[in-house]
Amino acid sequence: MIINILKTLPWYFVGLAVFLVPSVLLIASLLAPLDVESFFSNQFFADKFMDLETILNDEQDPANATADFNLMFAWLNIYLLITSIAISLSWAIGSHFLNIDEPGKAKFFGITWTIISGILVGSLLIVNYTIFSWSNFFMAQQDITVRDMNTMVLISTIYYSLMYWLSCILGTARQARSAVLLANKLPARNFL
Amino acid sequence: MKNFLIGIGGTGAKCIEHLVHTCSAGLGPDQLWVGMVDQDEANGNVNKTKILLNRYISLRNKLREEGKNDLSNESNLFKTNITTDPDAVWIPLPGADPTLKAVVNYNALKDEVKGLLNCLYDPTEQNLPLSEGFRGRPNIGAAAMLATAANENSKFWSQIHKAIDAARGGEEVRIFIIGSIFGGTGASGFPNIARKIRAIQEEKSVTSNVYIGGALMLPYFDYDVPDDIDDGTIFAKPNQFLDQTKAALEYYSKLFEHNKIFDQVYVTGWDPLSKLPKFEVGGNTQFNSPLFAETYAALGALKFFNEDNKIAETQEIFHIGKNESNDILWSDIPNVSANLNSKDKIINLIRFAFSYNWMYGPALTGSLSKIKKYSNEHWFKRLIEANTYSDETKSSIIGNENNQKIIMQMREYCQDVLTWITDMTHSTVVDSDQRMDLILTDFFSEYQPKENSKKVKLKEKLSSTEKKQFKKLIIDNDNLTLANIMSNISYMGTKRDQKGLGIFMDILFRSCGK
Repeated sequence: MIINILKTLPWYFVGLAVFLVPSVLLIASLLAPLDVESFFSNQFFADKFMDLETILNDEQDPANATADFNLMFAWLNIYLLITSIAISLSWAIGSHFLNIDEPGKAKFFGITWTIISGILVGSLLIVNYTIFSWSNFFMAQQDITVRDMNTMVLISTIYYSLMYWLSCILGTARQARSAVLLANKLPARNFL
Repeated sequence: MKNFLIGIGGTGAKCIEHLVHTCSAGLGPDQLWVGMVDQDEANGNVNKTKILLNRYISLRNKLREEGKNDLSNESNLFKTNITTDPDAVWIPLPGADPTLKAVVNYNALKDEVKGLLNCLYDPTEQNLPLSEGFRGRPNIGAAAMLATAANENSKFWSQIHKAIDAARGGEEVRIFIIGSIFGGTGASGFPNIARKIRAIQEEKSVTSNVYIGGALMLPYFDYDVPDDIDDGTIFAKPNQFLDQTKAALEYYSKLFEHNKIFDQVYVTGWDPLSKLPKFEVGGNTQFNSPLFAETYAALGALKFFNEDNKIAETQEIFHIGKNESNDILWSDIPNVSANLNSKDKIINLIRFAFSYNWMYGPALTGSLSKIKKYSNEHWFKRLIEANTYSDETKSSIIGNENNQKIIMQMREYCQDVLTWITDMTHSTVVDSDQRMDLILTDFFSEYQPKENSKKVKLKEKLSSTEKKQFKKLIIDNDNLTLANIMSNISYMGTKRDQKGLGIFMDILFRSCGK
């Protein structure tokens, strides 16, 4: 069993890496000082989602407000990343222990996978809204309109759900692939 | 190296059944010719063994077809290339109801020879119809066998002649004989067939490369004789087994002292004797259940044939037996060699038979449209679809007649294995204080001791609770589950040269191992 898990985990990490790498680069650039050149423009998300008019009306320094926003957005991504990895890795390893003891039984665990996927989406939403409600820790929360907050929640939830799904497609135990949406479309090879 | 096995009488035939199963588990040599000797031509045990041998050979040939359905030479499943012949049962006295009197041509004998014959055999024995065997009378069997020439025209003896010719050519030939010491055919055939082989060897001036081994079965079963049986009927009487054995052992003691006919002899028995639930004098209704002691004889044969077994100059006698307690355990099964663990291989075969019979065999049976419901599963895509794909039809040909035949035959063979082990588990210890702690059988089968030919009834289908009990199937072993097997078949790599259904069968077999 352990050997089978070790055979599958590299594929799990391949699937994960597709979304993990951009996410880590984004977090790194958000945590970097504003004057440091990075892979992502660390002004981009602040410009896109912050309500500049409110900042100016409140006589805040836009540079400080951007730094606050980046910090909040970085931590948001860190928590979402941890949530996605924790749930997808649990599935990837846990799928080896599912009681698939005869041909045709794997598809019934599609229900289990759907429930876990639902838990993931729910967790991502909870993490998002919790972060946005921590106004004591993240001042930037006041500088975002509700509409922009919902947009951010939607985008991040989709992004990290895709990360979870792709890592599940490649990282699920071979015998359990019928349980994961479209995973059974993968070619069946000795190494995959 | 050429290997030959001769099973004499009902016991010999039954031991061959054990040997076939152990060979399918991978414990046998690469090649083996099997022949039988029985005066009782229609004997139920002999016929059962013949059917089993044919099934093994047919299935093995289908699964070792180079480029088509090939398990590959590396696979342990059906490792031994067993060959036999439909006429490989040697009947010492053929014809309808031969009698000793007819064989020796009594009426044409001189008066003094007639007198000698009358001293040795009473009139009932002289006139006993022998079509149902020698009925526990080795003195009749010995005379009958010695009176029959071992000529090359007989399919059975022609193989022995060929073997000795091969030995002359420098090839090592090992011949193993299995027979009981307490019956009729076995007791008379065991020393006399070995002697005949040595005589052929001498006749052909072959002085080396021919080794003869044997498994001598001491009493290991008895039965209750029905009260209504006619006093005059001649049959093997259980109350005479021990006396017969004592006399025979004295004879063998002298024989082995003065004449090295056998290179290795394996002696085994069973105490207390296993009780056969039903008595039959002989004929096609005599279906005796497989008993544990016979496994010892089969494993003795496999040890003899094993290449690691170096045959000494002096005659060797080995005793095989179980532990002293009433519990029969896996540890009572001896290994074939230092590299061949009998317990592991037999367990592997039992698990394979179980999972194939109730899980994978049914899934692969039927038309392609029925089987296709598994086409999204990794094991099916990798092991079945990819290896039975036809460029002509642009789809898998798993549903075609030939493949379906293999799938069905494998299922029948797996049922044979499960029936064999279940029957042995119960029949060896029935009506005794002994316990056989090898496998749990109750959840997949029903044992009916009063039945004659079908004492074991395997369930058609298993419920999910019953399937879960698979992990307890083997007593005294790690708990492999059916889910573990499914996981293993999804990950286990294929071997070079494997083709078609051979890939799936071998991977499933290996997945059921340690």
